[in-house]
Amino acid sequence: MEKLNKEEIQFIDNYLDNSDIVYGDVRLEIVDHIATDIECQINAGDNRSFYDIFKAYMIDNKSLILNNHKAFKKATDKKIIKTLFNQLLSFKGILFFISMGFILYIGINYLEVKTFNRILISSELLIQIGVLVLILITYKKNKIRYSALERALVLYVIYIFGVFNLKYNASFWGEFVYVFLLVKAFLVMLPILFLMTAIKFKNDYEIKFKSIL
Amino acid sequence: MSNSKLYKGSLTTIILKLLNESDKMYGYEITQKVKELTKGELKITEGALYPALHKLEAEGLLEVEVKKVDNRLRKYYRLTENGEKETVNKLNELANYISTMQNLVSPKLSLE
Repeated sequence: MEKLNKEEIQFIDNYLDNSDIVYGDVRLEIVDHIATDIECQINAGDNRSFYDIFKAYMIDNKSLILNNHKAFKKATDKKIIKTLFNQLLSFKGILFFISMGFILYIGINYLEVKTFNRILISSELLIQIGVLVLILITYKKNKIRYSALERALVLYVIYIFGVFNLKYNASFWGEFVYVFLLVKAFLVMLPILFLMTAIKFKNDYEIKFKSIL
Repeated sequence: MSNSKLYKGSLTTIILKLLNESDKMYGYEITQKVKELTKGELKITEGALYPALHKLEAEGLLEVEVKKVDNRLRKYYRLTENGEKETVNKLNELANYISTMQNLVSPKLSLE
């Protein structure tokens, strides 16, 4: 049974990497599929060179592989959002949410609005940056570019730049102060939920990849 | 997945059934096993197979293990406990569907 050598495998891997399939955990499966298919063709008597068989395979399947990859990224984003909500509904998440709401409730009732907003915005910024650093550390330590971890980082950066810092304005919120507290508690918690999600994915990957790490 | 659209709805059941019969399988192996069992009648493309495998994994029905094989990494899929239960449900569902369809398209045959 003829097998592809290291250089040939690396060639397939580089080709896919250059074709924008950048996540290692996804690419390895496509590399294996293509390599196994080429080996089967060679062992069935195909006399063409590895490069010719690979070229023919890619002509037939490249668009399918790339479309698949786009769909995979979307599915991963959905999985991350689902995991974020699952983290929110976990015991730890609910505990964090209640504590955050309670802290905000105390702040809004015992501090001046100006002081409350100043403390709120600066602590929120501190949490956002701190979590970003922690996620980056989690991401940097990996040998392989894991799709779910990197997509979580992308979504987190979108959150940081996309969600403006919501301040408390008594005349705007009026009697809906509790709505403000709930929304704000959720927004302040989101970075922590992102961190919990990133750690969960990292642990999952470590289990899956334990034999090669 | 090529051939008929009728097969598409059964892809998950096919994957679960195959994994139920062996300890673990990788993607290409699944496509070849299906081709072999159906004598080439049914061909599962990677465009259909991998999204289905990833979905089943996300639902907790499959677990993944990565191993180094022949100069490369290979992802093996295995049924979880929930996956085994779901396989039984899916196969019953499919059996009911086949029986209902048989009643519809050839009632005489189903009465015999």
